[in-house]
Amino acid sequence: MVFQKIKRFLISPRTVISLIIITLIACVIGFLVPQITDKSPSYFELWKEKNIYTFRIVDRLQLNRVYTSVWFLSLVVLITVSLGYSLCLQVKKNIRQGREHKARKKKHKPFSGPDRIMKIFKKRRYRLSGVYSDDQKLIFTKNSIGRWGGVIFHLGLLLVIISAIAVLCFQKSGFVQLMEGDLFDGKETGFLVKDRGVFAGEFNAGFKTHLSKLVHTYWDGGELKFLESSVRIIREPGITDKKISVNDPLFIDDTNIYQSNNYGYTLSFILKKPAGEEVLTHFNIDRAGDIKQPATGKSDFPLSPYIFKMKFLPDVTSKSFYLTKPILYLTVSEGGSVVFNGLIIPGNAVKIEEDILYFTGVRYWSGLLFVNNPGMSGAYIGFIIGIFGIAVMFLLPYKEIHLTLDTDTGLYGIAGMTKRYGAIFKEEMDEIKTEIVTGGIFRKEFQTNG
Amino acid sequence: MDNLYLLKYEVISHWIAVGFYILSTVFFAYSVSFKKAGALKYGMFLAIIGLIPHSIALGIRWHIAGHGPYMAKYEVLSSNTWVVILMFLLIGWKIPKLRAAGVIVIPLSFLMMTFGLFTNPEIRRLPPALSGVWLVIHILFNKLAVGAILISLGSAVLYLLKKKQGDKEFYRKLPSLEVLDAYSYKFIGFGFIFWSITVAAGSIWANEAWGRYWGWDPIETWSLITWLLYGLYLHLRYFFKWQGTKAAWMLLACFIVSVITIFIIPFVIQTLHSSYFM
Repeated sequence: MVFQKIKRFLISPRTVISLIIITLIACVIGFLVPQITDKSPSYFELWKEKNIYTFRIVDRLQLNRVYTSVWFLSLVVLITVSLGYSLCLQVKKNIRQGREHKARKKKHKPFSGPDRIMKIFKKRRYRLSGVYSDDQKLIFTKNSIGRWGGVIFHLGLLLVIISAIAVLCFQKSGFVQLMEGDLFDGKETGFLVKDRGVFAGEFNAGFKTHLSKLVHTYWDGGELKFLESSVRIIREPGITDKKISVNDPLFIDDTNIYQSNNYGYTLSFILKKPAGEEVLTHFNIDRAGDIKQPATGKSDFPLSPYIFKMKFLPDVTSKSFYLTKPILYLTVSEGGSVVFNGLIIPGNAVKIEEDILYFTGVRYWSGLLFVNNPGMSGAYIGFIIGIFGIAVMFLLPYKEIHLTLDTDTGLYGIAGMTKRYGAIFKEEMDEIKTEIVTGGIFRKEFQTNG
Repeated sequence: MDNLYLLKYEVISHWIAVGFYILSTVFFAYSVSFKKAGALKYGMFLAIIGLIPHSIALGIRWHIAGHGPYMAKYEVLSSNTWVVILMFLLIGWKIPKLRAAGVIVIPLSFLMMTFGLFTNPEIRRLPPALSGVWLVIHILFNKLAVGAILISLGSAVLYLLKKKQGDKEFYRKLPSLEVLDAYSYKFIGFGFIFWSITVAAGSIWANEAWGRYWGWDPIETWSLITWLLYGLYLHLRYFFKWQGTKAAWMLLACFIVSVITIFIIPFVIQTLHSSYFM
């Protein structure tokens, strides 16, 4: 009894409408309420300080993380179950109707009545699918596939939703800043930023990636035109050279490598202490968004009391992103006071207090995104199936016309049915009626049903 | 011929097109307001004439920029208008009874274009992410969706007008209320197909470019909201037989949300789409 009630609830039109409306509301909330994925933790700390009560309500209801909240995921599961169950029922119904249709087709004999009748329907791409009572009753159908449109579309949609759930559960991704000449071992520990699905294990690409070269070209105005990393993939059984550019990722086994728009310069330093100890450090600084501006960065120098503030110009003679005549404006501070402020070029050394700082070189670094996404193929297939389904549903609606002929009296009757655009179908039927009468095939209609 | 010289022709052609669209609107408005069915064909004719300089303007721009007209408001809005008007003319040619919908379609289209013409006309270069076949599909179907939604809106407005003043001679020449309602439904069906393709192609493109097919970016969220709203409209029609006036008002609400998604969100909020739309 309860089971029947649940089944009825799942396919009830009111449930379907409610689920759509709740999803709509969830999306609006997700847009209006700041989400933890879009804002920094300090934003929420500030909010918490300013209005603790609103923050608590929002946090308890998980409105600041709508798309990963328990209630939203429950909603998605409910949609999936409802969609899946109504899909099963619809498939069953369509198969039954298809069988009836086939049986009807098997039974009927060829039509031996007036040819002109056939021409009228053939012109409109209707197929004769039944002849009964010695040519007295004809059934014409059009777009038989149209009956499957809804099923195909919802099947595609279901596949997309299931894939989205799979992504949420099992996706693994990580971003790495790889310097020219450096090797990334493909393991999670090497990522600068990482993201893992709820049930995803540790990321391990299973191969090593070496960045051989970063190529970047620009439009006349200085905007980025092309970005490509030449990489060497090291795995069994050997080494292969590949290229990864924006919009053209590299697929290796289950891992995709994407070229991000992030890239910049790696400035390498050695700090030699009076005791002879040397500390090697690389600073990755982003390229400046504007070609006229220097690339800037600020960072602690490891194992030393120094804070480095860098303004780097790749070419001091012209406005360029290319490393031609690089120069670095360096400010070093210790405990709030500046201990060095000046220019330095690669290969040079400067004295900072008792230490010697060598500016050993400049290279490019490239931002690469490693993704292992098991749901993607399902989503692609879902998209294609879904779109095919909607196209069938709205472009090819199923139509059926029943024509009753009485050759003795010269009267005929016509009735039709369709699921969509009934009024337009009625107009089409009116045109057919006119053609039947003006063509002199039959005199008059004796009965009409819409 | 140098590009600066060509650009001058491009701007002039754009404004000539606007002129014809304004004249076309006048005829459509006159026809509907004064119930003169004869004026509709002049409205259609002027819109066809307007499409010629408009095509020339977009062609020049394409030639100079080296990419399709989809970077920055100037190009986006102009090409949207071109697609909408061409689509409307084809529909009007195939279904003459729907020509009166031009009273909504043409003015909304040329207003969209004129707004774009007042924005920065500077030619923008394509960033590396804006390339590939999925991007072209995404953009093309978005424009077709705008066209289908506008024509559907025109049909719904005609429905409401006819319902209110159906006894007038002019309105009697329009399709019956049921047929107008069915056309409105049919074009929303087309719009839903095109919108779905836009979203799907956009997702695939996003996956190729950024390694994720859905990121809840404001534009993505609003595209989904719009898609769901149209889905709601279609389900209400199917399950609860929402037709006629109720469906027409619901469609107006869907249209407003589409406008927010297509024209307001990319303008006012920093999104992934800003790089091409701002």
